[in-house]
Amino acid sequence: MKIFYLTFLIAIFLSFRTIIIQAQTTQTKLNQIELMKQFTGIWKCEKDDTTDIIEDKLFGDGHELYMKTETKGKIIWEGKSIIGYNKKSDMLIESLLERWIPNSTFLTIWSVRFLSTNKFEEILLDEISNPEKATEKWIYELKSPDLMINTWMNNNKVVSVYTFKRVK
Amino acid sequence: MKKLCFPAIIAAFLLFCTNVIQAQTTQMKLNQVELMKQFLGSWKCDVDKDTTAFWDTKSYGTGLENKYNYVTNGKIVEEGKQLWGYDKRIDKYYATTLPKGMDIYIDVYCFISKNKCKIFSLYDIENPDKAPVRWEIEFKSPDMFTETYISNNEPFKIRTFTRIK
Repeated sequence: MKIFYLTFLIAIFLSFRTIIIQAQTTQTKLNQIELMKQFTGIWKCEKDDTTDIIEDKLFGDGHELYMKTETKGKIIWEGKSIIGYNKKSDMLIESLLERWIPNSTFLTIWSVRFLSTNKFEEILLDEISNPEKATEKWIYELKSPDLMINTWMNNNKVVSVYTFKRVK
Repeated sequence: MKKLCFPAIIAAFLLFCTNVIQAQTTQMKLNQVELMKQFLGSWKCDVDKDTTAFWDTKSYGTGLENKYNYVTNGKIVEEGKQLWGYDKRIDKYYATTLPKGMDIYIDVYCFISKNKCKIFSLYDIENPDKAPVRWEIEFKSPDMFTETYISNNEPFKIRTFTRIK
């Protein structure tokens, strides 16, 4: 009877543990497409004489963005980007066409990955195989629905922090 | 005098050959940024009996932005946006496409002659000629290009785009 009781208890313990592990896995599998929607809107960051603007609009389940940096009222940098989910890679991808005024244009492709429900990081797609050693990294964090902190890191060291407030 | 003349002729010949080779190399190195400008403008293609594809391509620095849609019986049935940007490291263009309601994907565009451009998925960049599907666009004139879909080196679909604007 004792052996039967012990076996029964072990079985219950194991099934309980399985349920906990399953629950944790479900919790860590974040819905990247839905979470990204929190960032739509118009955002503004003002620092000294420089203003950064991000306009993020939905396009289907994806996003289209326009960004610019103005210093003393003149645009010194601007970019257009699209963000969408790619099933084959199982991640969001951002393609950014940026223009340094007057005439330098280039395209960079980024992987977008949510680390928690309000925070995502961007790494160049070239460096996705070894994200810990990524030369460049951007972290976007929503501190509240109307406040976003963008951190630019180079070789895992913080270069700049931008505080964006929602305009719309 | 004859002895002096002979080496001079050989030297002149070698110099001439060098110039020819240099000229050929310059000619072979196509200016991808300039050639991509052929895509600028508005284009249309009758893709099916009732369906027409419309492309509208604008420049953005050395990049291009494109809006496209497919119209069936007057209704938009599919639409999307594209960003094309030049990458100096590979001397090719990346084109990212975001079709509304579908997955994002990345293709690579590369002119192989002044009027012919080959296109393949980023997944096939290591071996584009063995890509399951690749495309070739050929400008027949400034106002017309054909898009040929190729699988296992066999063309299986050809579309013709004509300029509207």
